[in-house]
Amino acid sequence: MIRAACLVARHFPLDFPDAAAPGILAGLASGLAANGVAVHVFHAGSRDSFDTPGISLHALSLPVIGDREADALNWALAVEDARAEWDPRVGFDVVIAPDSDGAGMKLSRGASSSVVVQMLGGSSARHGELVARMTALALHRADLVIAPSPELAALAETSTAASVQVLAPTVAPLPAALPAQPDDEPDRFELLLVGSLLVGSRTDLGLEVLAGLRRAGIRCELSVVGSEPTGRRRREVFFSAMDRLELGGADVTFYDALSPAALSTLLARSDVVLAPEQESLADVVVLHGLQSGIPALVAGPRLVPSPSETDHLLRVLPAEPERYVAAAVAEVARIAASPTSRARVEQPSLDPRDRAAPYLALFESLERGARIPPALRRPTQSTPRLGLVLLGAPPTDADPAGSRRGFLSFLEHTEVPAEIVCIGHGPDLELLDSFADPRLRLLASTGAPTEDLRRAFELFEEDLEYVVVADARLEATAKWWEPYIEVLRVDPGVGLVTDLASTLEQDTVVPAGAVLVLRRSVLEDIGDIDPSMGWWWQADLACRAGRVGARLGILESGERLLSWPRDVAVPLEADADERFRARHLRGVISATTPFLLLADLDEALSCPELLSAYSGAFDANDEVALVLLGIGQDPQELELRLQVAANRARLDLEQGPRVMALVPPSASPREQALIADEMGARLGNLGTTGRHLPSFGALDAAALRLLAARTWAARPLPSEPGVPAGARAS
Amino acid sequence: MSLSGVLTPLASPDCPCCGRPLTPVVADRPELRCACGHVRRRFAPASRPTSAQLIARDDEAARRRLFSELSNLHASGDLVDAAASTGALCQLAGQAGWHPVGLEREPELRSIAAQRGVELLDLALEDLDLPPRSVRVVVHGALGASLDPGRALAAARHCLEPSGFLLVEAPFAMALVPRRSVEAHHLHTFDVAHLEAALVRAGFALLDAHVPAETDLVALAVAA
Repeated sequence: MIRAACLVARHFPLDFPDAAAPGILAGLASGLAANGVAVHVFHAGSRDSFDTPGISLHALSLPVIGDREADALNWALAVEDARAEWDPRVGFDVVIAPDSDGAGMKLSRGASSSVVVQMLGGSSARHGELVARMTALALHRADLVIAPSPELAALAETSTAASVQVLAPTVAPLPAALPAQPDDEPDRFELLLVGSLLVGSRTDLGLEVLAGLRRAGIRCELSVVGSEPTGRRRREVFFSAMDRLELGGADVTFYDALSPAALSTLLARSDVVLAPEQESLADVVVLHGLQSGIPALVAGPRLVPSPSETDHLLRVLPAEPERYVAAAVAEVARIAASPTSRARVEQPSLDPRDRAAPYLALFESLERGARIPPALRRPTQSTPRLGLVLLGAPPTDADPAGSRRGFLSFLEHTEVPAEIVCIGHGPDLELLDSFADPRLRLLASTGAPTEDLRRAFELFEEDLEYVVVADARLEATAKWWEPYIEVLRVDPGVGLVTDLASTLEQDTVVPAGAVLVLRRSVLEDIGDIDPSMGWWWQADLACRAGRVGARLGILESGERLLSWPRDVAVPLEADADERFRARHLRGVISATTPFLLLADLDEALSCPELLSAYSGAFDANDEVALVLLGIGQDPQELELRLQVAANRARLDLEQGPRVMALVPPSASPREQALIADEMGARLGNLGTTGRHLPSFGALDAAALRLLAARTWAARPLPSEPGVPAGARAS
Repeated sequence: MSLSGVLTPLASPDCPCCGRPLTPVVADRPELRCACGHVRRRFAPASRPTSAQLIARDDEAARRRLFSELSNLHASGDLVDAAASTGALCQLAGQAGWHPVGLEREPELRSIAAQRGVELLDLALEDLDLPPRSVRVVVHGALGASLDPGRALAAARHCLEPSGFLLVEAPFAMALVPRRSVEAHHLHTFDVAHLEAALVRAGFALLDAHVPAETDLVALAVAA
């Protein structure tokens, strides 16, 4: 199975610096990511993030040299350095480099990765002889070569003993086109030509075709996309040619380089793509055109063929200039004469996800270094012992792979003793189930994170040191856990650690990251996840931990984990928001705030051992109170019952620790929640109020005293002002 | 509610491309369309299009691009920048040996230009009193914002020396991506055909036209 891929694409998302649109490499990256592969792109640009989930960009810095060949050598060296740095951290299954810039010349195989060269068909004249030799060396060293056409495959076979396979290229989808503008002449034919305006280009053939069509009485216009540095050739060559061919300045629109969005709009307006050149940069536009259902008139034989699904749209014409022009004129005239041939049919089968599937099959067939599946691996160290909860997200249109890559990366890189609970959705869980990994427990997501987490926590064994909750849309890298655990080990006062925090009112700092690591002991002190907190659950845990003196640690850098833009919005939860603010942003803890213990009135009176535990843990001098909650109870009757129970428990109601009874005639759930917000723990296990609080039984007097002591210790000193009830940052 | 009820109709000079009157194609549509196909916004923007800072940000890049086009002419001499904006082109042209005169009607933009040491005149090209045939190059980076581009082009032709160059930029009628905030409030949009017609009508010959940035049309013309 291919889990992670490295793609070398210097001009990403373009195949070539002057390409008109994202090319084959970007299409491959999108396709692999859509299949759940974590794709890491090494490029020489400045961007460090990409808007496609699953694609992480690594910008490699290069010295500015100015010499093309030295520059190519530097790039090849930088690529191998980056691979050597990132392979141990990510664990690439395959490293893919194009043939166009010699980038694969220095690439080495990693512990379990193969090296693949993707042919793009760049000519040696375009890139220089040294680059051509570098490419030959890269082909020689590769495990697999993928060519987009038989012609390119034949070329590659002369340089390598590796397997050379022909796979139809894939191109990344273009953004949506602008809405169509009113067309004064809907019958007019719109021709599109993307090419170079430089010396030696065949862009002028487009003008010849246009003139030929005009002479044949066909109304048409030509859009030429291609730039040159000074505009001089456009003025002196092309405008002169237009004069000679009796074309007006208005018959041809010259566009400089276009963004993908602009190309999309231009394609939507075009009826035919002319491709008189055999250069690769034009081929990408041909592919995009075919994908949009536009016929392409290409000069053959082509180095990059059309996908078979679009064969009917591709017209391969003679390459000789005069014959190309004549054939193109005849072909456009034929298309113009047939109204049905102008109807657009999008090609849904060209979805990058489908197109990348055969690539994945090929990669999987490669013989790689012996990789032990995570399920069969022993932990490489005995501590820390982690309970890891991975919260998966469902597949979306933007990220059809869902959390697959996140789950797999955590399984791969959690090399310490761990119990892993994956909360996910259908396809992800089916895949994980197939691993038979004894560390794994699988839970189908209910859509309510607090409920899912509560169920997950119940699955953990007792001997865990730390509990981790992580967003499975992240990609974990090697030893991802180390910086979190280090913070907890260095400072015993830190109870939980996050990679990102935010500050609320009253300077309350709460975790807001994708990973939260808690000491198991802190969880025992603060109780369970509170379902009423919704997506505030992290903040609630941190604030409750703060009340028992466990501070929040914030990781200085989250670079151990790679992430990509979130595409799943967190739902607005007005109730949870109000509940969180009521609990943590309203009150102030002072030096005399008591430790309050909640008990169900009926349970406490019927079980004197509970009252005994309370009287054994505290005395009258302690700032503590036991709150007996009896909603709807008769106050008259209560007094007598309480006295009897206290006597049996040897609890002195006058001279002992404080006891108070709350017996409102009724209480709404919200009112009960407000009561629970003030409490530090529950005594007994009955009652519906404050179920998230830690619960103590009749035999837990010592533990109860210890928790109260922690709570008292977390209060400010008498000389200090009160502090918010929220968390404290470390 | 009809558009004419909330917006101020503009005066209606004739079509800059063919000289015929511009008339509404459909009542209450926000544009006027000439029989030749040229389109002009019918109403003045209801509010100031955008802040001077936004204009400055957008125009800065556009004027630098125009300077790059100017540099490719390999010429020098007197230059009029008819929509100087924040003075970027004037500044660059001055450094390159030209003798630029910048015109800008917007006080905030003139103020930004002054901060970079470029003094701009509060004049429109049509009101600039220059001797005829005295300027080597006129640059007009906002032809679409002019109420009467035909008059602006005629003024440019008047002051240009024989074989002098006119470099214009205007919103492209067939924009490929959403327009910049500034251009969205321009009055005129042009395709190559209509811009060429307007230039010829004012006494120019088109030398070059291209779309460098997906929403703008740049044309180079020579005084015929």
